[in-house]
Amino acid sequence: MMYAPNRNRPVLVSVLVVLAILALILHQLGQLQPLEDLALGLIQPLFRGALGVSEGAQDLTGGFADVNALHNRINQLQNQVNELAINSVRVRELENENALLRQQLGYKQSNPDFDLVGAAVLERNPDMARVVGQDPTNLTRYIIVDQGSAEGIQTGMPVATPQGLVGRVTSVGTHWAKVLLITDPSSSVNAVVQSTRATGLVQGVTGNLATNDLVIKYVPQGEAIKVGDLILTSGLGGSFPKRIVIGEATEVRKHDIDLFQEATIRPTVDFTRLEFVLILKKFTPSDITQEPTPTATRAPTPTRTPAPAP
Amino acid sequence: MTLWLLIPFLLLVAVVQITLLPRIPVLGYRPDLALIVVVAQGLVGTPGSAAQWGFIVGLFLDLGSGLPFGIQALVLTAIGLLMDLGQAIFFRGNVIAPPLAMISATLVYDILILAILTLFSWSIDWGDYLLLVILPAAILNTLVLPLVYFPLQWLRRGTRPQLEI
Repeated sequence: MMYAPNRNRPVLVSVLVVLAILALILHQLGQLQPLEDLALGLIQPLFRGALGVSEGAQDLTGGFADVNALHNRINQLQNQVNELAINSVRVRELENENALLRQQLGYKQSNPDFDLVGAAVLERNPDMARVVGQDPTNLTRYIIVDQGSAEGIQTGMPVATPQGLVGRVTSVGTHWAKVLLITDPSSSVNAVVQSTRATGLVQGVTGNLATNDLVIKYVPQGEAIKVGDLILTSGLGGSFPKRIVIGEATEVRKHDIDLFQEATIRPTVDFTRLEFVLILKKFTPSDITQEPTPTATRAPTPTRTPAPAP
Repeated sequence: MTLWLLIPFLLLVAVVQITLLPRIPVLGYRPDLALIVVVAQGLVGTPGSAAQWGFIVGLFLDLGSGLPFGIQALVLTAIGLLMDLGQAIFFRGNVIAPPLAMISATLVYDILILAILTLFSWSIDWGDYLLLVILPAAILNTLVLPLVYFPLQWLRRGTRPQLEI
């Protein structure tokens, strides 16, 4: 079977262009979802198969020289730094929670007629979702995961790993979902500086795929933000749970003539090696900025020293 | 190449671009394999076929893209059409045609996508995108082009005359 003979090609090309525009319009109207769902469902096994090959290729390309060993060592150290950073977040949050509970205890003692019930701050339903593909262009940053509406995934759900925030679900099929990464320039997340509770907006930075830095913008000039400060989700707006780690401030830019200051953030998640993610199907929306500002000094900067062997 | 071979081939190209290439970026960039294949087909293939290749591989890419469905198909069809026109007017037999075509095609491809996204109310920092993403990607695509161009040329020469590539 041959495809279009030469004499019919101008007509065929016109038809193809019209079809592509029609697909774009139907997609925007939401009419194309069943077809996309079916097609992506059909080729998803191919993605999984190719993943095995790509993981092998990744190992192969990384295994030629000592650079690989150094790379692994850097990764190990980075993981340790991440763990320490996360531990310091936990300790800091426990301190804050402790202070808050003491306040609440005092409140209860001074109001004995109140019936107060403790509640979990964040209810997580940790479905592990495997990353089966990434956006095909250099322009945008999406991943495809193998969990969809059949598993209870919905558009807008936050996505994270134990290391920190990854992004949010933007479209869902039966057994797949597309996730906009927080490193995409079009992404924005309400955030808070852990030590001072200064608020800002974390956005992705335009650049190559190795540049996974983020930037926190719109931090008021009067608020303190320093290199090494940990940046967490604030929960403001209800799109993300509060207290998910985003990253660590690596550079602060402050000009007297500006209303706001901004800082570069190195995310705790390694976006170049995402394999499994957690989709938060349910959480209690709350705003960390409504909580009392911590009184102690800022959180300790994570040390670069490896943790002692057990 | 018959449709029965063409469709699996272009599906494979899309799958490689979505799954394999993101894992082995070159200096932080991944080659736009589908675009390279369409450009190479425009350079060595049957006149008028690149647009069809662009449409088919674009549809497959749309499935793996977070962008609105149809953008890749539309843009790659347009690139294929431009390549077909360029081949008829300028490209065939010209030594500088392949790198020139690849750089131009990458610029048009990325700028068209960003222009469409702008229509969808995306906020685009054009300067940063041009300098930090599009130009380096154009250079990388040009460097990768021979890996696709010569096999396709060989395939075309080795195919029976009654079959079109």
